[in-house]
Amino acid sequence: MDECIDCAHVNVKLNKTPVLKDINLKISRGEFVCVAGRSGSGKTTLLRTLLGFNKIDSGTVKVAGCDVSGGETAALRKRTGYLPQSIEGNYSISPFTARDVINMGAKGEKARLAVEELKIGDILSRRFSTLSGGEKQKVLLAMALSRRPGVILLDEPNLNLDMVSYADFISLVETTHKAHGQTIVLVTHLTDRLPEACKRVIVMGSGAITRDCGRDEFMKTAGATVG
Amino acid sequence: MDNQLLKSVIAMSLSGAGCGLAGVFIYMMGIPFIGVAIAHASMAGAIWAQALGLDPKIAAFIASLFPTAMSGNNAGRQSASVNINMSVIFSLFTGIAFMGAGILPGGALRASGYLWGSVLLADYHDVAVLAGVFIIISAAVIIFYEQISAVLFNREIAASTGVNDSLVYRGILVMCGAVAAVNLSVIGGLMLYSLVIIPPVAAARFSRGLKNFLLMSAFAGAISAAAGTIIAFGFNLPVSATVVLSNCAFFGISLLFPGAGD
Repeated sequence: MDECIDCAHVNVKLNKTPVLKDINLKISRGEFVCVAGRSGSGKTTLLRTLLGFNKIDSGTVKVAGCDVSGGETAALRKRTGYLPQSIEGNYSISPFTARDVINMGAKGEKARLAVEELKIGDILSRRFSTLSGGEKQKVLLAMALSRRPGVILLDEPNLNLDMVSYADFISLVETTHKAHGQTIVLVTHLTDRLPEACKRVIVMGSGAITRDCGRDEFMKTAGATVG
Repeated sequence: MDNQLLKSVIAMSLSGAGCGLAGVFIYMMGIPFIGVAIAHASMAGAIWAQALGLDPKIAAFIASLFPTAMSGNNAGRQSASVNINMSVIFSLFTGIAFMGAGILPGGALRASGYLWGSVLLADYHDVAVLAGVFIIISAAVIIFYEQISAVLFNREIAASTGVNDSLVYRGILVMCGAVAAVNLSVIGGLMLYSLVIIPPVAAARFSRGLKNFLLMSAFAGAISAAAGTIIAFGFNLPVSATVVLSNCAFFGISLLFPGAGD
């Protein structure tokens, strides 16, 4: 399989502090990979680096055929879908409806198909701020999916969700992965609830990859490696 | 309606509508202090420019860009820290403005003009400038609606969909600066903030969707400003203060009605 994500000797500093250290990572097209690790281990930074949000101090990052380290972010953003860990800003007091938010990804047929796929047609005219945590995540996922991305990056979508809503959300992600074969990178600390579709787990610690193994192998020793 | 009243009502309506639009931007970005900082930077620019024989409107606009430039690239992504930064910048420009008022010949008089504003001194050239800025901002909102909408929702999500969020964010602040600069002599630096923040607060309860919000806020600003001006003329009251109180009354009345809810 060809590489969809290729990081070679990537180092990133934030406020002069090294937060990613010599990251070497290859993810094949269509793979579903989970990134686990303690808080502050660099999981979110890795995801944001793949999206070109962080300045790369050294090394190369290529995602979906785009040279992120070379500044090729405009094309990259057309090929990736992203769900942030939390939404900063005043969306809680904003007038945006669920439909408005989905249309930030795409309009027309693409948006309609994403809505149909996630079965959220009944909440489109509601204000985004009044939706439950699970509904908000579905709307944001629909926004990401409507753009038909080859790569989907999910940053701890479990935050603000109860376990039932999280399981429901992950099930939708798995369904779309099965239907469209996108490359999915899911950052999570819920290592005891890894999606069935995830076949590979990358564990991070202190800004470095400390382990890269198959799901089954990881599940046998998860408690000892992540905590 | 006499000519002075007609001119004042038109000027204040345009002022209210422009401030209503800018207010939506500031309200949505959750950084009210940038509105205060922009208003006071404009005031400092106008006071010093007039003393130095320069065009006060242009100087006010240029000065209004300083808070934008000083807000940093991550401004609007972390609204709390921006508000803290803007508090410092607001203090700086208030100091510069009042320093000008204290040491420049005739500075105190000029300062009071920009502090309180006077629609009575506005001529049709001022009305044309207010209309021009309102039209330009409206056109920018229509043309770049999708990008502006995404940035106002969430900068990181906007960036992830390919929007140049830093550029759009700064463009929004430049528009806010332009509104502050042209309204300074009409409404005054002290009252400007009220005119910027109250219309969107009232409109937010009834709006569903950004287009609706922008229209309602501009409409609320224009109507309450026009009503305040007419009341001020009718009862011989200070126009700016009456307009602000009219704005507050408009907001109070809006609370009596059920909002758009879910």
